[in-house]
Amino acid sequence: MKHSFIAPRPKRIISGELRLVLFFFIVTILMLVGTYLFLGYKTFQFSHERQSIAQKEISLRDSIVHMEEQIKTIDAEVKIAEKITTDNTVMKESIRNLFDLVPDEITLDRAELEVSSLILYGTTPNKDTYEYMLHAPLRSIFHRTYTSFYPVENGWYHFVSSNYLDNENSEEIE
Amino acid sequence: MIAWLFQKIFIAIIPDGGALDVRVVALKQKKLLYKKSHRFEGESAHREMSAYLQQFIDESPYHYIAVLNPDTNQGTVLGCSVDEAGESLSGVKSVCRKGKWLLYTSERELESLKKTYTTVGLDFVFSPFSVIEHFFEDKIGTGFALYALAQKDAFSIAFFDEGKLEYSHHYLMHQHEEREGEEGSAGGFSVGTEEVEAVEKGISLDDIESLDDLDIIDALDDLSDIEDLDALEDIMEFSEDEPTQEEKRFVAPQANEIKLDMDRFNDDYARFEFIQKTLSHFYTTEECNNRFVETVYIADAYGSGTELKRYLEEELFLNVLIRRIDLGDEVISLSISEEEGR
Repeated sequence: MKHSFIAPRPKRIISGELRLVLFFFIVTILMLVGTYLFLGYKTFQFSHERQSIAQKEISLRDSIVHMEEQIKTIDAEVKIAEKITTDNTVMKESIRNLFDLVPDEITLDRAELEVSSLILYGTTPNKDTYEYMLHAPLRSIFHRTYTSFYPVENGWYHFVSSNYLDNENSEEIE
Repeated sequence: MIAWLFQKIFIAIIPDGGALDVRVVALKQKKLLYKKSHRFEGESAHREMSAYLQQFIDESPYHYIAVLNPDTNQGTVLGCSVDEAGESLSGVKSVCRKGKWLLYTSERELESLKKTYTTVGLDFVFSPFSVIEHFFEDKIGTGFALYALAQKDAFSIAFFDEGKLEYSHHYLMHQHEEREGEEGSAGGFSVGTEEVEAVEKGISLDDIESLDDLDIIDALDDLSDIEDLDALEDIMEFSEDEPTQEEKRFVAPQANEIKLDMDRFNDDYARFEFIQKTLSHFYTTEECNNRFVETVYIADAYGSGTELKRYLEEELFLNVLIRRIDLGDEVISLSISEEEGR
């Protein structure tokens, strides 16, 4: 149905002024939306960071607890080591004292040193030497002392001296 | 996309002499919102019309301004190829109708028309032949007949046969008066045809014979009542001061009414001549093909036509049917169909 000699002009819904106003409105809205999105992203980022930091804090707390436990363990181990060292020192001293205690006349074959007991195997020329020179100091140290003599062919005696500390003392020593 | 939100405003501008008839119709989803008419006359008609139309233009971006082409140089040719029409169609803007005929108008005059309405802008320019085709849509398919559109300033004649436009002519009404004395000036513009004769330069005495049928002359011819005058015994004395009963009864017609009547009379006669001339020219062309016009359909936008009907019936023995046309409504109807058909 074409009758007209000319085509109609294109119809613009929005006039020039309105287009300008709309342009500014759109720019403003875009800026607001952009700002909103940026802030939203930053908020999300911060909350994400916060969460990761909180998780890190938790893991750090856990590791602190673990480390504290380790420290405790180490402290305990240090104490044990110190105790062992002390014990060793004490034992060393005890052994030195023990050897100092044994006179030249008496020969020790074997010594079994335990926490609350000391069992000595050895040879003594005679019982008196043993009595005066070894048994006396042992009695001063231990609560209970038992000695058994076995004569040897050359007239000397093998002896087994069992010395015990009572529990209280042993606990004190521990 | 969001066009349905806006109302569509169709504006028709009909140049009518020096005046401009403006019709404004607002539609929203094919529902009529309002319809307004305004006539602008005088030198400031265009300025006033622009100011008047601006309110409607501002009202909706979907406004369509249509004008009925008032140009002289317009018409139709058979076929839809401008090349076939030859050099005579150079410098014209054309529209093909149904692949059968071509509506054309002078490109220069079209540009001039656009410039005239540059303040409001134009969306559609319609040919009077489009108006004839649209207005007589129910008739043009029924057979061979002559169709005419009578405007105040122009007279367009078209021959339609079974819906196909066969021949046409567009005349300006008062051109022959304005160009009186100019040789070879045709009252209209026709492409591919030569004017057989110039437009009449006046009313010839032969044509006056056709005025014998006028009622006034009939009344003058009837002289039987004169004898009654003798029977009157008491003739009232005529006084110079007191008007007689007849004088009291008789109201002298206004001068402009007489002029209007005379204009109508002259215009009807001119239209009759245009039809007569076009018919005689058509019968000499190849397009005639031994066909004779029996019926004439006239779309009368001027408000006259009774005399024309009588002339055509009595002088040319044609069946005449005159329909009153509202050009504003018709142009708006064309605009709507054009806008919908886009």
